[in-house]
Amino acid sequence: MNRFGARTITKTFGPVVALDEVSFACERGEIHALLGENGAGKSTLIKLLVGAHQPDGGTLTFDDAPVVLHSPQDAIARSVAVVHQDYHVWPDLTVAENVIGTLPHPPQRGGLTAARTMRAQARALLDRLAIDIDVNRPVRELDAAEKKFIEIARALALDATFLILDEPTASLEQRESERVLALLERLRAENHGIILVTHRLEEVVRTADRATILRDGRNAGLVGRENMRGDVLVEAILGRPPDEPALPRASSGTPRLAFAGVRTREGAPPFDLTLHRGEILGLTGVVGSGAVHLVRALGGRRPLAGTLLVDGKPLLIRTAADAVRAGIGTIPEDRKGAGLALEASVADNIAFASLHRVSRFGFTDTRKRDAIAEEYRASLGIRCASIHAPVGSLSGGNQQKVLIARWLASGAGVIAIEEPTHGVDIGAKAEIHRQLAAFAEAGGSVIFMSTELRELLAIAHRIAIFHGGRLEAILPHHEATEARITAISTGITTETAA
Amino acid sequence: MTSDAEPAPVRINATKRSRSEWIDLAFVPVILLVLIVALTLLSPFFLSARNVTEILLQAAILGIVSVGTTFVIVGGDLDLSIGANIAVSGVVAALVMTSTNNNVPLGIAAGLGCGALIGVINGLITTLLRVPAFVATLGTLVIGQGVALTITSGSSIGNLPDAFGALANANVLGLPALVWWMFLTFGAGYLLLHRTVFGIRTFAVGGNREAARLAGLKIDAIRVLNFVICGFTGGLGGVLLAARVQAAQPTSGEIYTLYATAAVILGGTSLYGGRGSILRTLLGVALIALLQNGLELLGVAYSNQQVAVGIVFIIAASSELIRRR
Repeated sequence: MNRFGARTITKTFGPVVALDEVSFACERGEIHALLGENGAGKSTLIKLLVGAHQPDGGTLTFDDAPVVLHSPQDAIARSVAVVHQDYHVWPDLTVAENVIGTLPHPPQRGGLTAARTMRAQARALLDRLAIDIDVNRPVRELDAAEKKFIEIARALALDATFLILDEPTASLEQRESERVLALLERLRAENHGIILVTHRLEEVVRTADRATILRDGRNAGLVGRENMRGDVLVEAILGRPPDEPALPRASSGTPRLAFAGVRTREGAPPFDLTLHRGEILGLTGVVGSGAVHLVRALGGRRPLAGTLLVDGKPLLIRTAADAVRAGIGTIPEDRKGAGLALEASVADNIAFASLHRVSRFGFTDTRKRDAIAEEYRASLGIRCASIHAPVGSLSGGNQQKVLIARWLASGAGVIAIEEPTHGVDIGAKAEIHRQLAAFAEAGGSVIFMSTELRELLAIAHRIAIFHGGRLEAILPHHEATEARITAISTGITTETAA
Repeated sequence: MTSDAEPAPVRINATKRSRSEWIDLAFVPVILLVLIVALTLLSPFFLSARNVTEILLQAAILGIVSVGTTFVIVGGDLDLSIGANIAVSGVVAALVMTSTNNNVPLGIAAGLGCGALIGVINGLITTLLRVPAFVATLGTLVIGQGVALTITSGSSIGNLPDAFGALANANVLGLPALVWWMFLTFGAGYLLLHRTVFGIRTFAVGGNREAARLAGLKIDAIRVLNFVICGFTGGLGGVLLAARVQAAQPTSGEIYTLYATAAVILGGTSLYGGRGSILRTLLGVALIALLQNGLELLGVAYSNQQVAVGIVFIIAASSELIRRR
């Protein structure tokens, strides 16, 4: 089989048309990106491609001949495998057990596992992929990129010719992403067909041979190598040119927050850092750089080593409640685990930090709560069936908007966010950036940690760059470039903190 | 550039891991060691051959059913019905023997089959009816206790044949056969859980059920099989308990309901599934047996022994929290 795809495929769920006559084809030896906003139909298409769903019209194709895949197992038997976005690994099993031992037919001898054969097979496979990991290590000891490698290796152990990767780099640092992309390029050279679903367009521009774009469940373009540019892709995905948020102006005067003599960890040099009214301050650095420390400390999740002044007065944040009382709202990176009550409604999630405003004598004033929720649903463009829908049913971008609405509703003066747009599609991303800018415009202060350079450059007034626990530099917006940030955060250049 | 940027995070993770892992690995062995030293100092009788045999006998039934319970827990489920299983299986074995003119092999087979059947029932309730194992086995626990009382009319069935008694009490290489059955069960359990494909799959299902499903593993079949293994050890435990005293009591298994799960968790197997080992369970069983024996030697009342076991159980469970941090 040299070509795998779908021809005029249609899928409806009740009244909703998820895919409307979509066609798509991936050749062996190419990296074919599948792009689109959340809700554009990418997930549905993946499910159809691996036989998890069956089409209502149209057909899957192998070398242009119609084919039916009855189940994911069926797809695997036909050499089509998927690597899911979440980590589908077993942390307490070894690398060899993850890659080979959990296959449908692992090597056995006399009823027992042929452990040596299993390890040898796993090692041979990893060697072929130029992955240097000890196959006897438990997978929990691996870093995020290595776990992704294990999943990819497992798909290859299933003899997959075509590999579908759903957001393989969504939760990876830039450096780790590079390693995964390098592996994909290697697989392409081995004549595998790679279907890459991602929100990170710079990766597509760098690696993809072609990109199929979906919008509202329809084909919205096929971009070839010659036109593979960020602006072309963004316009095709949105169906219009993107609008950039205008940077509000930061005020001077007493800073809203002032960190004095703060360290990111024991032994690291102390530094000072301020956040003014109307200012958006970006923090960045690779894993272990300490950049995330300040945001976590503001949320009461880590003790702060040093002094924090809020409006000129010292404040000790011991718990999340201390932070909320001081008007600091935090949004953790793990918004599902640490930010949202997934089963609770959108309205309740928005009201969580401002219950005093929507309750009287301990009873919730549901009408007031709903009015506030509706207000933010409209102003932030939160897409949900109703404000009473569980927040878990919303897309990642809309969940993030709910968290932002929570702190806007509570009247917080400072919002501290970790990775504001991780796993969020570009439409919602622009919306979130606009909201943060609007919040700052209205006099609020934002401090955020991000590893995404474009995001830092798009919304931050100043960018504080950390490396090895040390604050290396603070770049004003007009002096910051991707190259400079990368150089400083990877330790190539050091600059004195401004 | 890389040489400067990479090592820092790696080092941080490494120290954090080694410390918590150290706590995890050393926790039970250290307690065991302290317990042994303390009891040796406190009671000259403790290390005598007779008392060691006594400890092994006390540990035997608990050890056997804990092996089965380990499979279920590693697979991400629980089996609280094990106590009732022991009672029902013992009673069924005894009833079959007494009503077939002391046909010992048939009685044993009936007891083991009964245990495995309870496992099948637990497995089907949790997989087909999608009832969480905790609730399902709590239900079969209560049902089993009722059944044991009903079929015996509440009284024990005594005077079982000597040939049956020999199953547990025969002297083999200086130790009662019951103790050897325990070691045999541990050995078989070790091979099955740690040296077979089925074992890997059990870890896979317990560690990440959704991933196991998407990897094409037949997770329901694997879960049912683990319940059957657990049920079978319950049957074995019930038969051997009846053989030991040559009588079957409808209320005999009660304490094992929680002690089996406690022994597994004490050993350090994760209550959430996917991580653990038969060896750890052996340590957990040893800890409970030593604790009970020691408290007995020191003349502590049985009721207070239970309090002590409960406290140690909670401390051990909190050590998992330390580890997971």
